[in-house]
Amino acid sequence: MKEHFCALNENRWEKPSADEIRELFISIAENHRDSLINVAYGFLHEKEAALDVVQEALLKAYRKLSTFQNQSSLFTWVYRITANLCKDRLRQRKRQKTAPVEEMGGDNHIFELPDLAANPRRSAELKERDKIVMAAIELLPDNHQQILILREAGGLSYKEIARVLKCREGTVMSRLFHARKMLAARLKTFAEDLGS
Amino acid sequence: MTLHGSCPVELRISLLLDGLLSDEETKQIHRHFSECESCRQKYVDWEHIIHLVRETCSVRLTPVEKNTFLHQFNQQIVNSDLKTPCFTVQIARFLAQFRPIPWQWRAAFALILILIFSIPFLPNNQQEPQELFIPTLASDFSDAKIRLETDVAAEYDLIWVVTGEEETQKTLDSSLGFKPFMTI
Repeated sequence: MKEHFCALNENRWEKPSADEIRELFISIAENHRDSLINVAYGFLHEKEAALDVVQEALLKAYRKLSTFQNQSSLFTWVYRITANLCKDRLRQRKRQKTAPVEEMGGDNHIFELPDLAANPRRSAELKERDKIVMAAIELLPDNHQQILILREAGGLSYKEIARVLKCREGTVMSRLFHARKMLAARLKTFAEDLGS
Repeated sequence: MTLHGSCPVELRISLLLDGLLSDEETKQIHRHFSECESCRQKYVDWEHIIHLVRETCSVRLTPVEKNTFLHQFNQQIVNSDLKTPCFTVQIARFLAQFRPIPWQWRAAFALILILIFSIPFLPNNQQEPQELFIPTLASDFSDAKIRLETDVAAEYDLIWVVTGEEETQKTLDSSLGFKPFMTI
């Protein structure tokens, strides 16, 4: 699935032409757009911002390809840039203290699909559930949050996450386990609060 | 496998959910679930949570949005130039080629190279032979005779009596018992 991302690594002795690089990046955008957008959305909880960040990350990777040192695959590098840009945006957001679009009433993701819109009550319930899940994810420590999002939203393997975050696979395994455990505890607390 | 005091079965549940356990381990853990209600419940809860997170974080784009995204990106990369790598990056890329080689091999190779290049600088135990040059005239070699008698000949490994003519060489040979090693 992700083999073509390593094309530059495999043919590192041959300098690819500008057209080849362009084609490679377009194929990245085509094939991994959804996964990258989901990761960005997992961090930002805002569809437009997620799309912007992924565009920016792909463009940044393309422009700064000269700084790519073949120490990881191009694929994981793009994910790393996306995650870093998301963290930057979150910092900016914290400084500005503005609420994301969803909180202000705009909702653009899965639960706003036409079949759900036909049932407003169900849609509102799902929206509420999303907010709770997002809030629970936000409460996780940064390291755990990143790994959980890369795994569940991006669908990356342990090995790929380890490359993105420059850590060991064992660390990924351990943090993911703790992230799931903490998330389960938080969601249970939320559910109890709602119940009471 | 215990992480920070967690139950090893808990960690296995996480791995089971990611499909990282072998068939045998999967069977074992399912057998455990039939005996342990707490672990089975945890498995069900976590499975549900993973599903929730995946749903919550998934963005479904309409075909129009997908095309717009690609079109915008295509336009942006057409209008932007690739930077040429600087020298240090090129060096780093070259060195990165050797990463798959185990460090032990790289260390051994580096050591061999160091040894090869340090050979000319190693201390030489073989001392240069001590040489004595005694120049003498063709007609008169008494000077050489005197010097040979007075100089401590034992201190020298080689004594060169430098003469000019073949005739002198013969004389020198008969009178001093030395064969001249060098003639000019």
